[in-house]
Amino acid sequence: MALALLATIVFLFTLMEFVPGDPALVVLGEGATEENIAAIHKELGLDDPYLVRLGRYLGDLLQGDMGTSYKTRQPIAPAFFSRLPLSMIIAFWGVLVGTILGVLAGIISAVKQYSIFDRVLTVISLFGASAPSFWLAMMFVLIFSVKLGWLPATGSYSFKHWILPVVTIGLQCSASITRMTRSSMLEVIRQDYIRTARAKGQTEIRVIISHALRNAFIPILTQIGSNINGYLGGTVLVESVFAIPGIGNYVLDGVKTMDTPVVLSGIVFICLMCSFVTFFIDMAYAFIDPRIKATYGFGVKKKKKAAVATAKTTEGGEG
Amino acid sequence: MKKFVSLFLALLMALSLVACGGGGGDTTDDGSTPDDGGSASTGEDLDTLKVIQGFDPGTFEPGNNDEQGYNRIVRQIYETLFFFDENGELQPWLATGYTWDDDTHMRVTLREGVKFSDGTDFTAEDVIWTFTRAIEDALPNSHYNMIDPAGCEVVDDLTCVIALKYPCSTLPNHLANSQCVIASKAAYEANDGDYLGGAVVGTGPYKLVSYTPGDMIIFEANEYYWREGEPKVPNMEMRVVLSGESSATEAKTAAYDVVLGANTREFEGIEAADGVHMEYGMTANTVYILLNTAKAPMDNVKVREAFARAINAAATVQLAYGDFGEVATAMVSPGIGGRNEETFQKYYGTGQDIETAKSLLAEAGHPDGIDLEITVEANDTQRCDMAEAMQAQVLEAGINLTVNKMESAPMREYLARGDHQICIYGFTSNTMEADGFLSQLQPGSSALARIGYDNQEFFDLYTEGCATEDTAARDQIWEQCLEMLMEDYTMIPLWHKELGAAVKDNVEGFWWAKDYEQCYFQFVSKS
Repeated sequence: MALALLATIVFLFTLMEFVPGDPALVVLGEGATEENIAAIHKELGLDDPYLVRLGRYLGDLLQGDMGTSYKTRQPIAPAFFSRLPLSMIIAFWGVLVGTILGVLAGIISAVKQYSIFDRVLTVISLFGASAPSFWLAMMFVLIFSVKLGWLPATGSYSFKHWILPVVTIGLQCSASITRMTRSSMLEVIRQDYIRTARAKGQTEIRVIISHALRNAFIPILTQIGSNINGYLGGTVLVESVFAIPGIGNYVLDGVKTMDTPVVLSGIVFICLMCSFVTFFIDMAYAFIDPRIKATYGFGVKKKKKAAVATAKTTEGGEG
Repeated sequence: MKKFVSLFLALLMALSLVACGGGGGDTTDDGSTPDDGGSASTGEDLDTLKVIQGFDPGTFEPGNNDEQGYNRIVRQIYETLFFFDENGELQPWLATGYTWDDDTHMRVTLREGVKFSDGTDFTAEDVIWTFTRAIEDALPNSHYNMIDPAGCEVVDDLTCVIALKYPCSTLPNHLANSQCVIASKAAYEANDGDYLGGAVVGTGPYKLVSYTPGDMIIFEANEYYWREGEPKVPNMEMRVVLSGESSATEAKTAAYDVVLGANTREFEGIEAADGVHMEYGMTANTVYILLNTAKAPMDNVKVREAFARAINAAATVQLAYGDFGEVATAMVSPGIGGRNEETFQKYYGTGQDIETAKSLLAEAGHPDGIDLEITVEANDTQRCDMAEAMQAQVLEAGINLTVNKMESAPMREYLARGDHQICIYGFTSNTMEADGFLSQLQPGSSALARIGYDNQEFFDLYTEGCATEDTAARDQIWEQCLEMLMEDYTMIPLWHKELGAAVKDNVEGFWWAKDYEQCYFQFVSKS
């Protein structure tokens, strides 16, 4: 994980080197004089060689210093961490809503394959996957805020404010989860052990939930993880429409104003969070699939003890 | 199945049409959105002014940023020595008067009894310290370019002398700009320059209570404010909404008292909404086509004139802005010193003239036409629209115009290097005289590269204007400077900018300050 992060930082830092534009001109604005441009270059260390600046940035980052914004001349960390919870709320609640909707729809589609339900849900999921999030968001605002006046149009100040952004993300996210659940479930419900479970007289709900869904859940979980990672830093358009000050827009604004420290710190932190999400998703596999659990060595001691006990009993019996 | 899919798609289409149709008139009974958070409230709170604006300040450092949006926020906390009123007239503010000791030393008398929001006295030392710090820290403020900090002097608590590197008789006008607000030296030193915390101390009508980055700024009345009865509304919640479309949506729901920064294309829809109306104001900003006289083939005046003849400015502006603002009728906006409509008519009054454009191109050695490039900021849809309209217009004259759309930051560098041939850009005469933008076209300024102009006579005339104390005489000099720019076809004025704000019907006292597109919420009241 550390190596991946280091590679990301170096790659991004290098990439920002090639972005055309002088940050000093952005900082100084219309009336920039040559004298002031030189002063800003000196202040921001822009005249230093690439390796010196990269080393300085990495050193500061290791000490927990995310740097100072070129534009506002203020530390980045407070501005970044005040936005982070909002992006996390959108990402996690959106994915949660999307997962609930998507898994339910996927199960129905798979169990009732080629039925009218399957076709309707397939159309809806295709629509969800292809409709741009900003369009969905604007439609919701026009209908529920401007036309009906039921919900606030923008902001993030109460439960009501969160409904539209979360539903927008949730609907879009549910599309991919529906398709993944459907295909994964279709594969599983044809297996012999499902037939066996039915033959043993278990109820259909128990067969679907305990036997089929559990075995089909690994690819769904991967999809959920990938959605969380995508939405952590990628809800710029939804943030924009609902005027939610998340990190997506903060980083985007940094790109527009050549505010390299803001862009780097933002993306590095998003990468760090994505690494953690991926790590937890990997861990979660073990709790769903006992075979994976075994490869991690969970419960091995217990099994060994049981095996030893069995062996002793067997030996005793023979003697 | 096909029937079902058709039905579903038809329903979807109907839903979209319902959502897109009208939308302006329907709000809840009390004219607000039914939320329970920071946006609107069901009961009208007369003690809190709710404002939406489109800039996230990031800091509250005076002069940290030269953008109007930034200074619109900061100006509620800090104040200037002079002030342009609703009519664009210069008024004393923190200063009560000034005299010239000589042409480079202005003696300023400060208002007695003014206090900062922490209760300390406002003194001449704060004034000189503000200027000196801004210059030493290279803050983006071109209004201080002429100030010589070493020569400035604090005479007593209420008197100071501002020294200049060169004569500048419009210095009071420059100091009225909201970039030139005065801060507290003591608060800065006591708080180690923390302009998100304790250093945010000014003499303005409001003081900062809290700031949530990218979201909300909360103000409350400065209890020591020197103007009695102001601010008229004691509390102010200023929300940051960066998207013009989202601001327009909020304006239509009439949930906020004042909404700035709504998309201009939505103004009509806002006007149609209940409980809200638009307040318009002309500004000192004019949008120009800048022709780079230092870049071939634009270094040939005939090519520049041919381009000016080939475009239809009125049709271009109409396409981009409709009836909003004014098609340019002079080099600077109405009300700006140095404006002369007659000279504009002389050079640009004929409008589009394709035949003349063709013959000028032929005279310039391009009888078979010419390839040119116009650079515009990609995010500015109106300017992109104008560039594309011109692309079609000039084709008839044999000009093959390529539109180069660039992001803001790379574009600034591209223009500062003088790599462009033509670009669209706006200049603000923020001193309410033409020198407000002429000062940016002087040697040493990065903006000069946009027209690549190297005319010593022009620079000398500008310097003479700066040294002229008599306003009428000065205006004549500015007229001559502007005529030089037209005569050499360096810039073609297109549009005099107008601004609009959505204001609730129960809100009074809102007006746009012309000089730097500011609004002073201390005058705004609710009923």
